[in-house]
Amino acid sequence: MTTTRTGFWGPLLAVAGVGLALFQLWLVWFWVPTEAVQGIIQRIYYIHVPSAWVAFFAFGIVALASIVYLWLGDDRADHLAVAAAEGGIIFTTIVLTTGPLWGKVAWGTYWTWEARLTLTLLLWFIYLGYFMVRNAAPTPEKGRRWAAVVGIAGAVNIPLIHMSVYWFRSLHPLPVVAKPEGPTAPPEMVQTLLLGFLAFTLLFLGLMMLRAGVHRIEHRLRLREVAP
Amino acid sequence: MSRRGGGFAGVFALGIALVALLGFGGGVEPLLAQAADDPLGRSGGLGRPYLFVFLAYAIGWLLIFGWVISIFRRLRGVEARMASVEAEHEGGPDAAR
Repeated sequence: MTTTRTGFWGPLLAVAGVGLALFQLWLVWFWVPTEAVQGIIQRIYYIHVPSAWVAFFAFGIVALASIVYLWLGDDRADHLAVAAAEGGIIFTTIVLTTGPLWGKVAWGTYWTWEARLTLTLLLWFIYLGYFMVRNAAPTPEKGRRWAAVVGIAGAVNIPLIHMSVYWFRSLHPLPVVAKPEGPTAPPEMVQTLLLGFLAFTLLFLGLMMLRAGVHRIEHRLRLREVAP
Repeated sequence: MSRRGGGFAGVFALGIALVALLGFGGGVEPLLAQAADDPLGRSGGLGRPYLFVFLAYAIGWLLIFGWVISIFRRLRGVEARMASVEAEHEGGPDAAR
């Protein structure tokens, strides 16, 4: 049966994540108060920020798994890195599409080449490169090793993205929840956002485990086909 | 898509329908009331901000759903290959065909 081959926890976490995300969707549309300055467009926040968190989390996993793979040569770390990188690309794409929609109404433009936006786009390209390097290498083994190096190097960009709004003059707003003195947003907004973090994290972890399971089976089949 | 993949997609679609039913069960008046007070809307009806919020969530969920579909398509491919390998293992090369 499918789940016995890819693991039971993946689908379970993904379904839990979908359930919570659907509940959060309802909160966003019908419960959370409208922000006084930006108005309705600010509701994009509840998908934009959790997606950004999941993207960073995913690329953090890619970097850690890549270090383990280069160090120990454990194929399980490579399966995890591939699955996390795929999820990271998906969630970074969400960030890069929801952000401009918000920006068009709030700033009057879809895109501006300021530090955070540019570095986030760079992150997306780096992890696209992760897959390109993997597929372009002369042997699968080299592809895995080269991709691991890209996965580790790409993660350096994550703290730069986080700090860019402090270091450079930017259109992008400063954090209103994740800051040392605590959140300054109303409790309903913080609760909806935190639920989004939980839902998207569970959804990502579930799908990542499922994807890693599929990658593991593909790898074993490939080995079996090469050396029966 | 495999039966399990179809089941997951079904649960997902049912959830979306449930949210829509719960939300719009009371009519669109709450949304119109929110839109009327919107500082950046400045238009009749639900206006551009609502359209963009809707688009943002739709794109986000479509991308996630696309990832789910791609995982289950790969899974289906892997299952077909495994069945072929197992058949080959049990009955020789002819049995796999």
